Amino acid sequence: MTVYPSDIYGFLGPNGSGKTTTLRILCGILLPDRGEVSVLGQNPASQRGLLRQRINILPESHGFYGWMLAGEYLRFFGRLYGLNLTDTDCRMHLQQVGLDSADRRPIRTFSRGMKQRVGIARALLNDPEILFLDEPTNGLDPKGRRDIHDLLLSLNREKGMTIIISTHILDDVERLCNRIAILHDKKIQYEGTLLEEPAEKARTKSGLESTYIACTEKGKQQ
Amino acid sequence: MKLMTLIRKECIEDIFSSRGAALYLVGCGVLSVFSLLLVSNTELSLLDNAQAVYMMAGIIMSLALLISVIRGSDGFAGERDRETLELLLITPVSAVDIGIAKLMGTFVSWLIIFLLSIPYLWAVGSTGQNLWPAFIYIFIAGSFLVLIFGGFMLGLSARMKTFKEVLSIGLTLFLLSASPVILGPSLRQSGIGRLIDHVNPFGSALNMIDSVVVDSQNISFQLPHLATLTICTIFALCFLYATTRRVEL
Amino acid sequence: MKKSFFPDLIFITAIILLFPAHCPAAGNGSVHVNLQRPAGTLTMGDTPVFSGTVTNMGTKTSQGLVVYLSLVSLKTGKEHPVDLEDWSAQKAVRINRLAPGETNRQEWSMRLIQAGRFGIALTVVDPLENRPIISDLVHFDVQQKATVSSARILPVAAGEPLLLIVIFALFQWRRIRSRRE
Repeated sequence: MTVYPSDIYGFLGPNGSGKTTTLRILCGILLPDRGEVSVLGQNPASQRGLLRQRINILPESHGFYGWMLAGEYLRFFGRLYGLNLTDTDCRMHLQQVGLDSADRRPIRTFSRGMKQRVGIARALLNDPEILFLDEPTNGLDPKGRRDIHDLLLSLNREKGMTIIISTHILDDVERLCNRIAILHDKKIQYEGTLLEEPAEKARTKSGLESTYIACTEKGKQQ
Repeated sequence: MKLMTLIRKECIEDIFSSRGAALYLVGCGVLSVFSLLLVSNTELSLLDNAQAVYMMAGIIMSLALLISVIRGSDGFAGERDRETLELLLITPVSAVDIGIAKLMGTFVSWLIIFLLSIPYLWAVGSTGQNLWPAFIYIFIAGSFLVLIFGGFMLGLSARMKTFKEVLSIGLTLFLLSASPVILGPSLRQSGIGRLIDHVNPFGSALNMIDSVVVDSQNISFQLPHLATLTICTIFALCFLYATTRRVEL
Repeated sequence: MKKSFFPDLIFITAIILLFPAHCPAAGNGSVHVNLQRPAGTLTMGDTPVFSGTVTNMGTKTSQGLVVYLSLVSLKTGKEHPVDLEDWSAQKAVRINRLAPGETNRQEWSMRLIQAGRFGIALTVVDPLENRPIISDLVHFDVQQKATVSSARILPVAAGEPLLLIVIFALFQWRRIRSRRE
């Protein structure tokens, strides 16, 4: 699996196919049993400190310190990245993900969608070169999903941020990704590009759907 | 700055969470009940001040041990259960730093318990002997116990998956450590009892306080106890370092 | 009011039973043991020092003598031996060798943890003798002193948990207020 700079890379696969494990290995949280991993030219297992300053992740199921206020939460993680965020900075980061005037609310009072947005705001704190997102639109309403899609596209266009999205929601992939990999049975069954032209794009969903089903069915037959 | 941020978070979490508040209130409640027993029970009310201070010191040491076991077990395993560990592990902070911050958080909890216990110690021991040495030695002994048991439990917590697993081991350890004291003086006089008393940090801490407060013995008598506590602390901190060098989910 | 001697008689009998080989202070003729109480009034919490001497009056050297204190409570009607566990860290002494005419002096420090009337004696056991040698019973009174005062304890025991609750409530209130600002 190869991801190029400024890619929005879709990482697809059914539940239990190893998507989350792969992302954790790429972030250096888990050690691979075998094989080689290189992220931004560095080994995530041995050069964790340096690498983590340049990447960030939104895990699929991530808890929160519910007693913290949203602004306090961002300030806490900001400090861990060496940033001294002011109240204005925190408000700005929350506004970016559509959470206006929520910085003084305790996170335990947030809905699931709001928590997901706080999580995304946290993942963007260190302005990462590579952003790993594990099921980023989980728990979001349609407008919320659209807002997050727009945010990710603008980050990619304006800052050239490389984004790796692990999901099984094909609509997210279709709207966001230029390249994809389909994982099944802990193996990459397909890796390729999604077409950009509108005429082709109209066909892409059905094309992507059939590719996805073919890959996952193939795995089952094997 | 990063380490201080983590320590600050541990302390604030302790104060603002219901768990932290409950722990301090329970600690205060236990000390209050014991103090009231001292004045309401005729036999206990005739106890010598030093003896009353020593008995209270035993309760304070048990609280220190309990805090270490609970907070140590919760350290990594609790964060893992609450799914917040992954977020900490992906930051540029090393897991060793996270472990140190959590140990410092436990130490601050002990400091709060110690400060809360000072008025009780004064109330039962101000007209007796050795109150000031009692303050000093209770603080020293409690600090050692927190570093030993807190460090060991945090190390286990880094390697084991759930809070419940670690806590069950911690509570067993708590009972084993306190067993020579529970068994009473006669069994402690036996060869094995004496050996356990010498290697058991909890026993050493209590013996040291007994020796200072009740028997008014000077520091030279405390050196074997201090040696046991220091060796156990070094082992516990090495264990914590070794287990947190690589923390996985 | 005339005091009955009957309890004292019982106690003297108890002492004789407790120390079956009770002998006069002069001992059996070869070893002499003596115990002196400190002067003045004794009060709970005091740590008086009793002075004990063991003298070899015989012509042979005594070896391996064990010297220990025995304490009895002489409260009328409730006479009983007292466990020295909390009274003294120094419970027994071994004298390796005591030459003829030689005197061994020991200071026995006690911590008075209970009020009442007490008797204390020093016993010497010579491994070559059949009977222990016991000093005269030294009587002393310990004046009561309230060690644990309710005037100090009650405010702390009741006040501190309440204070803690108030402090936690204040913390929470400040936090809620800061959210609203």
